[in-house]
Amino acid sequence: MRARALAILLAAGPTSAYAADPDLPGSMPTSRETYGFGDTAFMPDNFGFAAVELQGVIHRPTDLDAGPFPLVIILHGRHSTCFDPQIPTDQDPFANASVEWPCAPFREPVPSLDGYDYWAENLASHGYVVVSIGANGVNAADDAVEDAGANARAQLITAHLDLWTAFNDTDEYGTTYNDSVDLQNIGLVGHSRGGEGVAAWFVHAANNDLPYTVRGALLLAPTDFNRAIVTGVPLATILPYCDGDVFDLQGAHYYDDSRHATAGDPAPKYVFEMAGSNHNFYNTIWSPGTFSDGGAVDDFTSLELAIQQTDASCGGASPLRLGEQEQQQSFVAYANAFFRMHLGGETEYVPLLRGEVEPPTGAAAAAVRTTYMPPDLAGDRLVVNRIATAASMATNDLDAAVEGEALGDYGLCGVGPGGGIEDFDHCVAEPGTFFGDPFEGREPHVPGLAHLRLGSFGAGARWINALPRGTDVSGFVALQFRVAYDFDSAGNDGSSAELSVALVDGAGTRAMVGPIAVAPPLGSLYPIVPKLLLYGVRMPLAEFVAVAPTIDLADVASIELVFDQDSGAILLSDLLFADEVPPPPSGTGSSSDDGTVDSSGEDEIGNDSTGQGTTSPMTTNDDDDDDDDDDDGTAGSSDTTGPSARSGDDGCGCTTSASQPGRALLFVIAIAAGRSRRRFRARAR
Amino acid sequence: MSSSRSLVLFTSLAACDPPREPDADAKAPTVTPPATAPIATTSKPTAAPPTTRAAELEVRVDAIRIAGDDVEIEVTLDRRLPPTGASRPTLHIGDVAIHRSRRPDGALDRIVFLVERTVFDTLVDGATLVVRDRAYSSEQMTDPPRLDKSAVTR
Repeated sequence: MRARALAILLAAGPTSAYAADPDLPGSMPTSRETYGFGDTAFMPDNFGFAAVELQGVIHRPTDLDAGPFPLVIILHGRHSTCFDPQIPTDQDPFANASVEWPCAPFREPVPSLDGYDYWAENLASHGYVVVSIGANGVNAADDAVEDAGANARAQLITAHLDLWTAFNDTDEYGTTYNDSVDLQNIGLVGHSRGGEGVAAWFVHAANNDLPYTVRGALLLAPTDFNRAIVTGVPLATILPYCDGDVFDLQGAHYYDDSRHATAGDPAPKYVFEMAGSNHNFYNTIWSPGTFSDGGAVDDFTSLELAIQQTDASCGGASPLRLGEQEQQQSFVAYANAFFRMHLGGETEYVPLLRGEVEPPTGAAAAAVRTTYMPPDLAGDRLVVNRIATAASMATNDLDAAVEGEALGDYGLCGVGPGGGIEDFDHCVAEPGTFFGDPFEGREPHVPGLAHLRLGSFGAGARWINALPRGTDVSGFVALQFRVAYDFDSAGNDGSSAELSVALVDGAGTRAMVGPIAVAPPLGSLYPIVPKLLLYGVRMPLAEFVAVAPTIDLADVASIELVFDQDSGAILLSDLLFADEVPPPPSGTGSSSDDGTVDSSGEDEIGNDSTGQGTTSPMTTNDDDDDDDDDDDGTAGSSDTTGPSARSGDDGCGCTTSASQPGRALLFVIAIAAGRSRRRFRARAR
Repeated sequence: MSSSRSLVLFTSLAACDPPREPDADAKAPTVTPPATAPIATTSKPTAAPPTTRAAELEVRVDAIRIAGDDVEIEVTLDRRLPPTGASRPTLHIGDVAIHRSRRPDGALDRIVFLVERTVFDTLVDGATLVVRDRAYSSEQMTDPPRLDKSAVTR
């Protein structure tokens, strides 16, 4: 059996750049509490008059006086909503499950909102208030509306944010949570349809001028029925390779669609592909090892049973599959890193998020492959060739020449002549069919993402992108691109493909790094796996200097991808220079010259690419908030990490800054959310 | 009827990779298309793809009734279709696909599909009804149900 494919990390840097793995519990004691306003407390607009619950599970630091803390909302996905405890499930895990709301008197609610306790408790111990909200009522009625409940879920998130406004700002519900959370430093997490609900929230927020600032959104194995595009907020998508529910990994579109959607987008984007991971194990209530009612299953195994085929890599019997706790720990690692960076300003996790270092121990089993797009700011992103259209094969984004030498296969797939998502060309010879219908299970990026296919390599095969004369890339940290092994190529025999990368300067000095092994994706369950999933290759420019010290990065004339093999093919996208080289350390703290601190995640990731710096955003900043000094090293005090240090809030839920006009741009298509009349609002606005 | 729990011993792990083509163009000339070249797609001829059979559903139409602006078509399945993230049961009536549905009384083996009355009016009486949901399909039925507009009740 083939060994598990590992992420290709050309970074020669450290295997870890942080003092402690992000999934390790923090130092703060935590408490768990719940709140509930009844099963039918909230009625989303345009949802068929279905009333849903307002229930939440809170994990938070026991000592709330140390706050206010960042607020993270978790929205679970679609699952059975009720179960009959009198019916055994040993023969059929769905035997006692139902989809209704509220539950019939003889049934009990499936507590899907409890399924993330393992993570919420951990993150809370680092200084966060983490709230998992119930959405059974939405799950019971969402198929009756065209958008599969995305807008209803978005409204539900807002209803809880409104509640938290009341908890925080008034004594209407007691004083325990007064001044406990920072509603300008919010993180959103959604699993499955909950992930799509989070994406839809940005639409909803923009349409309703909501007064909340979200600084990070994490979509876990999300659905994408509506093709929303979210920009302007740090966005991470986790794609479990062995997802047996969303088995076309349609959530790949969130990154693909947003990465170049908005000029000047200040927010980074990430994809974390988790090997051996399924859809359900991220929620313990959906995991058969933890919960036995309401249809808790290994979803990939269920899929195998349905179509009566098995897969040696993703099947439940595969040694490459992660157990429930392994999978949950990998999620803790990356979710913590993401929020502790973007909400908490812990820049030491930047290298992990960018794929510069190996996954932490807790996520090692998931063999995470990272794809990262830096902010679209002048110093952070120089796109050489995004492979947008057929023209990209001859002229790149810098308006310089592109050549393919000795490439028998040189073409574009994934988009069509119109560049739309309807008239696309597949990247594999046969896209996959279920019941005779095309099915994109093997091509999560299609339709919508153009791929460049390079293959049938002759002697001296190269793909060359010229750069305009005098192109200075010395201020960037890395060269990066996305790549995939074309498992459908006649010449790829299942062994890794190889390529090297060369930079050539204006004087002809050539620095070549490599070869890079592009590993084949695993699986043989047609048409589910293997999958053409592009992933990021990040090559520090220091590596090129190391092999050719005289190369002039201030005058790079071309980039060459060099192929030594004589057959096979790879797929490619997004060739670019990434991330500004950080300034040398100067003193302590992250105070800028004018004495202010902007510790927003966006700025930190743009300005400290190494994470080596100890530029803690928690350092001094005396602004209007004077209620804490937050010298415990944890995230969350609003005087340093959050809103008061930032300028402007556009009211759309995304971050704004007067100094960066492009920051607030939030482009959304596809969902016509309409302005909704919110039936539940916090009374203390 | 019901799927068994996930404790299954897999005795067959045979690969079923798609067929591969012969390596015909290993040595090829330099290709530098002009900027204005038409799209060079990389579609390739291929052998017939492997067959993936759907998990077979048996479907029975229980009722067709008018409910407000919709016509409800209630069906009973021979198995439970669990509600999951990507699950979106779809009723195909001839060439028309109906995506909106609800589960009566929470049952996983019954679905009420919701068809706008204006759409329903355009449907061809006698058209075949097929239910699909991800890996499940009723199109294998030898005697599939057909739309009977005379059965509509209020």
